[in-house]
Amino acid sequence: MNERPRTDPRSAVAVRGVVQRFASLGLIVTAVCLMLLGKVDTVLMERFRSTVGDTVAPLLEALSTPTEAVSGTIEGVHDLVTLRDENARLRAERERMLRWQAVALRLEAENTALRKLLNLVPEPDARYVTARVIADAGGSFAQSLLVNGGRADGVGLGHAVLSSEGVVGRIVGVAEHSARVLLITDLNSRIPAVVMPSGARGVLAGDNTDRARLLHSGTDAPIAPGDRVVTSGDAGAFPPGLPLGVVATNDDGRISVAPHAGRNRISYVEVIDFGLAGILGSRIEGGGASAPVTAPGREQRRMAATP
Amino acid sequence: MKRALWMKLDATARQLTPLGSAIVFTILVVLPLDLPVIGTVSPAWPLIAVYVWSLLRPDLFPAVAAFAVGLLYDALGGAPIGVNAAVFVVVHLVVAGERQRLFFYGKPFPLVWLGFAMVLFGAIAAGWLLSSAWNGMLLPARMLLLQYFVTLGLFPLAAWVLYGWRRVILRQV
Repeated sequence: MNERPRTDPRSAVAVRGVVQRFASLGLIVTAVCLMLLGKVDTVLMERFRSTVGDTVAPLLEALSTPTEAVSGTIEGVHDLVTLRDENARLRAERERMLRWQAVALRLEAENTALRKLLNLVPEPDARYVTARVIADAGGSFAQSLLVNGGRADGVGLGHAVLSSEGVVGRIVGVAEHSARVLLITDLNSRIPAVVMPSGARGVLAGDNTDRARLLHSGTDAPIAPGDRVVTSGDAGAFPPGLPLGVVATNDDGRISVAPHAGRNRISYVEVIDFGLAGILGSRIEGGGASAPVTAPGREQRRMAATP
Repeated sequence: MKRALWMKLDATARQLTPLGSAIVFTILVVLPLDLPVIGTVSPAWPLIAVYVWSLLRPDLFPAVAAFAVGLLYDALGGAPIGVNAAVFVVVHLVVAGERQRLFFYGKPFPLVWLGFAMVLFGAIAAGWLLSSAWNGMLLPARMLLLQYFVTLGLFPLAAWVLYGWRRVILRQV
């Protein structure tokens, strides 16, 4: 059974070591090539991410329920400690909310009457999909979530993602049963915004921290901490008026915004198809059946196609 | 004959567990967990798995396995695809290389932990540099510092699980 090896075992081991080192170097080169490829063709990489996310999604969904229970328990203990103060705060807030509700009802009635008067075409109803967050890529590399709604549920690229507190982000990758949400605090997120009392416009850009910055707003804009930041509706990415956050600091033109949708408590989100095509329209494949007939891209192409 | 087949299947299943456990660790990373102090910063579990398995059983956890785990971590974690794949292969190269194994292997646990502290620092720094280069701007480093200490602190717990796994499941393989 034991025969003498024909080659010297020590050199065999050395050769194997060299081969393994070459293999490792080859893998490193492959990884660097993937990084470069990702820079060149982001759609391909996003599709890879979506496929991987979709494959892992069932497992994530199964595992995220108990972890949510754990988070909930820890939060419950924490809440018990601050119970009395929280109660008082909530009572005061409820008073405020009831007053706002009365104002809102009055405005809604006025709005309906005025629309009828002007014979305005009603806006298409927005389609809602409720989804649960099953993965949270926390870290300074990227800020994104994975939700358990995908193409099969009506989620499409570019759809707005909102929580009960405000805008969370938008869908940047869709697979069959899961979708990736780019948070407004992510490095690559750019949302046209307007600051409410003054009406100053700008672009809300993330930088992978828990705050976002308002860019291109002009240095003479009268923006003060506490001002509300909402979507402006420019570029057709989001409808106007959705709450984004509150101005935190304004250091000589460098404006920092604290998002309403606090990262820590997002477990359920609404994915809303407002029927907006954005500036990219239907040129990105995988947009699903969400683009309405009135999207400018489709109309122009149809008109250009007929001779 | 059948018994031999079963034994072969059993052995193969056991041999796949280091890679399997690394994949489980990667999935653990992205679960939405919100803890009071550290918030949503998640420790770099996959790196612990890659380090420990490269150290203990490089025959069952070759460089390709480190590459695959890194790729999965990139896809799920949102980092540019390829960053952690490269970093994990380098970690494997450092820890499992023939000469370096003599430095890390068989030493008492505190030394293994110290080795991990150095490797973790290098891995996080390299990941940060590569991601920053890819994005064309410096990424915020504050969260990375927190991630470093959280991961370092959780290393004994995770390593204990993996060492125990090796003792129980991989004893015959």
